[in-house]
Amino acid sequence: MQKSSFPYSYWTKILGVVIIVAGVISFFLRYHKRGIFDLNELAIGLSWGFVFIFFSKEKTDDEMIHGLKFRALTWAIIVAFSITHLFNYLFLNWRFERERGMILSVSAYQFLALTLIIATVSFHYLKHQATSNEEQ
Amino acid sequence: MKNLIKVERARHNLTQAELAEKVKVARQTIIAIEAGKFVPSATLAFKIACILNCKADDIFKLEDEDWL
Repeated sequence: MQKSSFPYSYWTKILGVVIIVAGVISFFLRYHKRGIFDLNELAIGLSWGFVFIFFSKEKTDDEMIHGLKFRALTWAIIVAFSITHLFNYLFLNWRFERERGMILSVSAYQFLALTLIIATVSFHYLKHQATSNEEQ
Repeated sequence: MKNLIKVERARHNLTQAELAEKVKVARQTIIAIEAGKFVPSATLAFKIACILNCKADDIFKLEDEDWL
């Protein structure tokens, strides 16, 4: 019998959604009350939420789901890393001087949130593609 | 890889949901296998063959592109 490689139960997805909603509300409250536009705060909520959503079991967890999640995560890492690198280069280090400056980068939370958003969306897209000619 | 699951399933009067339940996968997985969009592992292929009372190589056939 094949064991699931995902650590969280299906219901953990609800916890993930709650964390994301709390993170988004907290981000906007802080922005409206104090005018602080803290993308890291938003990214913390999104990354923790999507960790629970993506790495939890599906209703029926089988080898196709594992394969699709692996493919989705593989592509998500490549795409998110490319976007991160491009963003760092174009917006944070455009005038970088090797002799004096330090390389700036988006935070780990932002990178993880981006990766998991892409992975979750592409997993559902791949799943839809695989079962698109569903019979009644 | 092509397969004859749909034919054998109809012969045994099994729905996709019933076959999925017997081999402990989601119905979507059976749909994807029948459509040739997902190639099952050897374990799952043998389980499906066992439920359909035939040999695995009677229902799963290699195609030319599988050798590339």
